[in-house]
This record gives sequence, C-alpha cells and structure tokens, in this order.
Amino acid sequence: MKNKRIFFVVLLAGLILMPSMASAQGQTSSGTLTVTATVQSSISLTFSTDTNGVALTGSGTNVATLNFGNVSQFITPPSKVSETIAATSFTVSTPFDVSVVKSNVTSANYTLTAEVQTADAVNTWMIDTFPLTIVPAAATSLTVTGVYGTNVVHTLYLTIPFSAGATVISNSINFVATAN
Amino acid sequence: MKVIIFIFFLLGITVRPVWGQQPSSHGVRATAIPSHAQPDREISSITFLTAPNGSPVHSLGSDQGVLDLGSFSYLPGADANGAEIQRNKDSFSVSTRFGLRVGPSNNHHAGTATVSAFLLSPNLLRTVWVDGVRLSMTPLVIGRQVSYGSVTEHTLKITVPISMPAGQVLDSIGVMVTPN
Repeated sequence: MKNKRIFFVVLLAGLILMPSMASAQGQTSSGTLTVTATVQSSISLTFSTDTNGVALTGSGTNVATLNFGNVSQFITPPSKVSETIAATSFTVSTPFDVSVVKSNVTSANYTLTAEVQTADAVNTWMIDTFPLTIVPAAATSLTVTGVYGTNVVHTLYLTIPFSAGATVISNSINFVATAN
Repeated sequence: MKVIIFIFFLLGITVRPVWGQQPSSHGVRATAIPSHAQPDREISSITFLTAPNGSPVHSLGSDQGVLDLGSFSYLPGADANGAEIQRNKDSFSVSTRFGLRVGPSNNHHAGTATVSAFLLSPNLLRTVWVDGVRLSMTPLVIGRQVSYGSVTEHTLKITVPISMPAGQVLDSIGVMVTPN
C-alpha cells in the first residue's frame, strides 16, 4: 500500500511538472537585426583596344596610353595605323573603344566629351569628325546619345604639318562621360 | 487511494491541452515572448555584436541591433566601411560579418539552441544571405548547435542589381532561437 502511494505521488509530481517542461522546450525567442546602407549611383568609363586599332596600354581601365609608333610622310605607317597625305601635312589615325557603364542610376544614355590637356600650336588633334579643343576652352562633345554597356568605336586623328621638326609628340586627352 | 486515482484522472485531462499549445518552431513574427516565460527569456535573449573587421553593429537593447554598411557603389574604391564588395556584370554584392550571442555572456546554461533567420518584409530587388543561406520570409536554419552564452560569427551578404535606383537600403532580418 505504501509503495503504491509513493508511486502515485511520483507520478502525480511528474504530471504536474510535465506542462512546464513542454512549454520550455517549445519556447522560441526572436530578435531583429536591421541592416542599413546607402547605395550610390555611379557611371564608369573604360578604354579598350579596338580590333582594328593599335594596342592600348592600360586597356580595360580608365587610364590608357595609345602609341602610334614612328610615323612619317615617307615611311609605311605601323600596323593598324592609317596614314593620309595632304598638301602640307599628313595625318595618322587609329580606332579605339570607349565603354561607359552605369550602376544604380536612371539614365537612358550619356554625353561624352574630350579635350586635349596641353597646348599644342603645331599639331591638330581630332576624334571621329570633331576637332579637339585645348584646355581651358570648353571640351569637345563627341556624342550626346552614348549607349551604355557597349564598346563604342572612336578614331583618333593626329595631323602633323610637314614643316614640323622630327620630335616626340605627346599629349593627354581627357574624356568625360556624363549621365543624361 | 480512489481519491488519488481521481486526481490523477483529472490531471490526465488537463495535460493534453498544454501539449497542444506548444508554439510551432516555424513561426514568422518577431514578437516578444509571453511574460510567463521570463526566466527562459534571459537565457534565450539575442545580442547582435560587431565582428572583428566587420561593419559596426549598434545594439538597441535586448534582441535588437542595427548593422550599418555605410555607403557603397559599383565603382571600385568605394567600398563600404568594414564590408567587401564583389562586382558582377549586372549586380554587386556587399558582405560583412557580425556576431550573435544567445543568452547573457556569463551564461552557464547547458545545452544548445537552433538559430534561424528570415526576412521581416519581402524584397523583390535585393537578395539577402546569411552564411550562404538565401533568406526569405520563412525561417531557415543558420546554426543548429549554438551554445548559450558563446558568440558565433555570421556572414551577411546583400546582392544589389545595378538596375536598382540609388538610395537607402533597409532590410530587417528576424532571428529566432529555439532551444534544442
């Protein structure tokens, strides 16, 4: 009889405890991590070597060098450099690619300008059909409807007068792409 | 003896509804747990922490934290504070690490818990990942044997398409702890 009582007391205690144990095991707690950030809009410009143009040093970046090589009125131009002879000057040219990509900006197309950075009173610089201005004049507009994400072919022309002495010609052209 | 059996019979009836009220571990809402579970509340409290070299996490009290990724863009060199940016063709991802502690730091509570994460609101533009698990509004396990009181590090990654307009990013991640 005594054993039975003990058995039932233990059983009773177990039954009383059971609800709270069940509650603790199924209980979940929760928290919230709020993530904040600011996404900035951007566009970027890169130069690339064109299939028909001379190899650019720094192709695929926004700082590239185009080297025409040794050019003259009387010698065959280097590979992928075209040359035309005029009455008082000759012009060398080669194509190169410009790609402008956008990110997180609402813009249908872009405007591209270019400008020679150092005064050059002897030679003439031109891209496509547009003679380039020299700082501090306003930059030359190359397009106002540039298409994002594509390699757009441009051609650089350098016209050298016959009267110019043999020398190294070097200059910088600054390109600016602006989202429309 | 009959009285004891009668009491046992009555308790047997009352135990069943308690089992039936166990909360599901697949609950979605990040609500505070009921007050009757306050002793377990502290054991299962969630603290969000700044991980070494991770973006800063500001604690807003128990169970609440704000992770600030700062400003970032698709452009190289504009990396957010404490976050890494991976650039893809049509999107970019920003990732950082944060710490998570279940229970107080001086906790001696034995056992482990399962930690799940979920988004508190749908987001059609961005995707949010924690430890490689792409989050949705359904809780998904990010840790199965998390010890109470210890700090676990987790990796947060948010993928932003470049077509998304610039501006503020705000994502709320719910974290749910279920005792094992």
